Amino acid sequence: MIEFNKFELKNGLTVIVHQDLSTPIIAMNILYKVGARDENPNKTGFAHLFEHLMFGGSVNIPTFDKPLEKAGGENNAFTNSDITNYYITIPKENLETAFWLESDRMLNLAFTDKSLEVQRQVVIEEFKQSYLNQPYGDVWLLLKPLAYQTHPYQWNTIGKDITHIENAKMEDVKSFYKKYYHPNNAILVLSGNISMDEAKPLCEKWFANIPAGPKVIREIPVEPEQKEARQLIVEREVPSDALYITFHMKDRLHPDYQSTDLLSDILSNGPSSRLYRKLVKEKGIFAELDAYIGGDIDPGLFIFSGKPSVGISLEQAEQELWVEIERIKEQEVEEQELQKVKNKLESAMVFGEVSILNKAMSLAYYESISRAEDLNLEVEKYRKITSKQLQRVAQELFTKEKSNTLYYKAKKSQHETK
Amino acid sequence: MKLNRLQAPDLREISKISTPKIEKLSLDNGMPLWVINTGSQELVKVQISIPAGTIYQHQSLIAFFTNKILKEGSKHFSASQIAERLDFYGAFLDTKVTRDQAYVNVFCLNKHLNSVLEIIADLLTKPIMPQKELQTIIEQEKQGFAIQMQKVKSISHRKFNHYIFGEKHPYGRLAQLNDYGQVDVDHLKHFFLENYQMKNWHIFLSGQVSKESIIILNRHFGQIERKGKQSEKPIIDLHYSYQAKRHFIEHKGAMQTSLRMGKVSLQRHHPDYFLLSLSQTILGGFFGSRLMQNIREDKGYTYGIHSMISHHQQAAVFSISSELGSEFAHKALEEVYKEIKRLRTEKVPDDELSLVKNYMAGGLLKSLNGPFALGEMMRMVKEYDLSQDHFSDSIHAIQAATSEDVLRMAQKYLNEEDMLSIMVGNH
Repeated sequence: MIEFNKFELKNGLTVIVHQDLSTPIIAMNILYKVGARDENPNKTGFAHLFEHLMFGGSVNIPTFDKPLEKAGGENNAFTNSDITNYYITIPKENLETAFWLESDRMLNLAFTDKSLEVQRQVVIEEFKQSYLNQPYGDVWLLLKPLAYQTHPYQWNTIGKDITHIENAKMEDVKSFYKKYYHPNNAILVLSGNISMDEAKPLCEKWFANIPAGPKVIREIPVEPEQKEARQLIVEREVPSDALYITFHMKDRLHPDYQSTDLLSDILSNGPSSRLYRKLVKEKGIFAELDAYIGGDIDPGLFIFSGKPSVGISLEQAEQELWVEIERIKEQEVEEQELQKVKNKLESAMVFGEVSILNKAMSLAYYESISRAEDLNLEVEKYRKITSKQLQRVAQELFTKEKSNTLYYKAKKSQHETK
Repeated sequence: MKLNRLQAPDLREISKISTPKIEKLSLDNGMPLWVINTGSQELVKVQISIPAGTIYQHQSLIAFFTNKILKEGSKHFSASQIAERLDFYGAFLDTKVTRDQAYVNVFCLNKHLNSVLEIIADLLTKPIMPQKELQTIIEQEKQGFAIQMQKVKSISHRKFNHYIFGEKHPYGRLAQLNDYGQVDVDHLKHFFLENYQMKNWHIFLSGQVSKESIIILNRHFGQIERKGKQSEKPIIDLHYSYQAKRHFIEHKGAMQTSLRMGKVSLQRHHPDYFLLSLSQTILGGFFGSRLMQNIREDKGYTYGIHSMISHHQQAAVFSISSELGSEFAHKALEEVYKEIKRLRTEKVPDDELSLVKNYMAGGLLKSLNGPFALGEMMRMVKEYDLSQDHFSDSIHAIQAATSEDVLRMAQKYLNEEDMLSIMVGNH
């Protein structure tokens, strides 16, 4: 249970306050409801590039990081397909500095040419470091367009192509800010050593005079139902083959979401999970194997990802994996196993509440998809799930005709022994 | 009154940090148990620390696999039972080996502590070490190793270690691919008998700790006679013979160049350590550091560049690391050398010094809070032989530092002419 208070400013900014007196710190989390899915298909990577630019100075404050560091604070941010999330942790006594900084960059950014140039370069380096210069780095650059042919989820947050970032213009960047970065498209969460009496006046003082922006209307093309299995085979300079299979699942608010999540837990969460015990430990088919869901707001993906053990072909590994997938479709999960994954989930929630930052992010996230109150109702949704439900969801989800399979093959070297 | 957004709010300097006291207890059999009672959730972290790190092994990878195989079956629980039960109780088991120590860490809800520790005690005192499971683990680790070895970051890190300490040195030596094929269950059993004696364990407990928790710890770890001999730390040769040279290693096709450079440095208990820590933070220890501001924010040569002091129990190393765009690598290296030289030739301006001090104070405040962070702090106090107040005291030394102090530290301990640098990439 995470207790909190919520209110809204006149300009539409939603504010949530959660008090935790066991810490001398306060976390301030600001979530903007914009992500890679909101991008123009010819100008991708913007939401993420923009996240970088948010640190390049705002209208009244030339640098973001320095004043924060001076106040003993730390900060970071992340972007994904759905949201852009900024967070600060700061000693209680210097909280007002965080308000000053975050409100100013919500008011207006400095938009200097130098900032765009440098961050463009930095993002290009990030692209290389994360996606091109690592073994298996480009997997998601392949998996997303394989699964999605229409929906913007077909491109990654970093961008469809490095040239989109290379060619980004200041006018495009400015209009992106104007469209999405305003109080009625944002959620502010304060979590830690703070009360409502302390929070409200600060919110009014710093955020109330920021004008509201245009309402964001999303017209995101719906991905048509997949009718046929898709396959892609690539070769790369990597030491071992890798196998990826994805399936389309329901959206975040669909009643089947939690069941889909539990299926991934039964299959792959923890050392006693099915795929790990059967295919990694007992049969040695895979050196590593994972099943997980993407967590997207619009209908996302259920993902299997693994590396076959030495001497096992991709075909054999895929076949063995399908045996386990069929098993979870054909046989109802037993009570003990179902209880186990529910216990794990509840435990993870308790552990998650140790961190005030984690709590802040969760509150912001739930508010962005529906309402923050739903965070405390989530556990009950999982508790109620029955084996029959899981079986139905598995049968709808894991059909061969709707699978997207990637064979990521290790290039055969001349020195390979048969 | 109209809001003045140009005016920064007043700041308070953080000059004091208080941490809960470490309670030093002994279980019935004399087992040392250190406790910090803290946190708002009903859970604990139990950390068992054993002097069974890689410096104790006579063959590559033995310490690592001995630690890894513990959960693959014990006298009263099979591997799948261990996994099943820990998952059922929502507990997390984490095992780790460093140069000096082996760790078994358990994160557990208080309501299941008794059931969970029954399992942990069994696998730590009566592991079966089945050969078949060992083979599977070795294959998996070997595959992971092969992938790691393709990354320029791993290559530069390894080379750096080899040069600083020496390829055969207990702190420098590293596993090779063909070492994986030489590991056998008998080696592990022998290593276990030699090094996992209860006599040498130390337990750290942090979280919401009650009398009941101590009773449970006593039940599972406090009743067995602590036999065995007192572990002796191997004597580590601390004469360094590396040269301050620049090494360039070719790695075809790499899109980025990995840089790793540095030198041997001060240990935590050294009287100059706090001041050196401040000085190296200015150089590269946070996002606003000189290295980050120059090489990433000003020039865009990298996604990240950092400096740090890393610690073994008997030695410490200062290092700078970064993955640089290949076309910029040489220019970037020049800038790095320039920044290090600047720190030892020009005094740090007052506002920069005060910024870093406050940043560090804020970071300390954050890191000395919560059951997991405090558990770590406790462990470091023991392993590095520090006073209880070492970390909360550091804030006084840092706040009192002058720019003359920083200059002195940089000249004495951060001279780039004493540093070794490795660049791995496509040249």
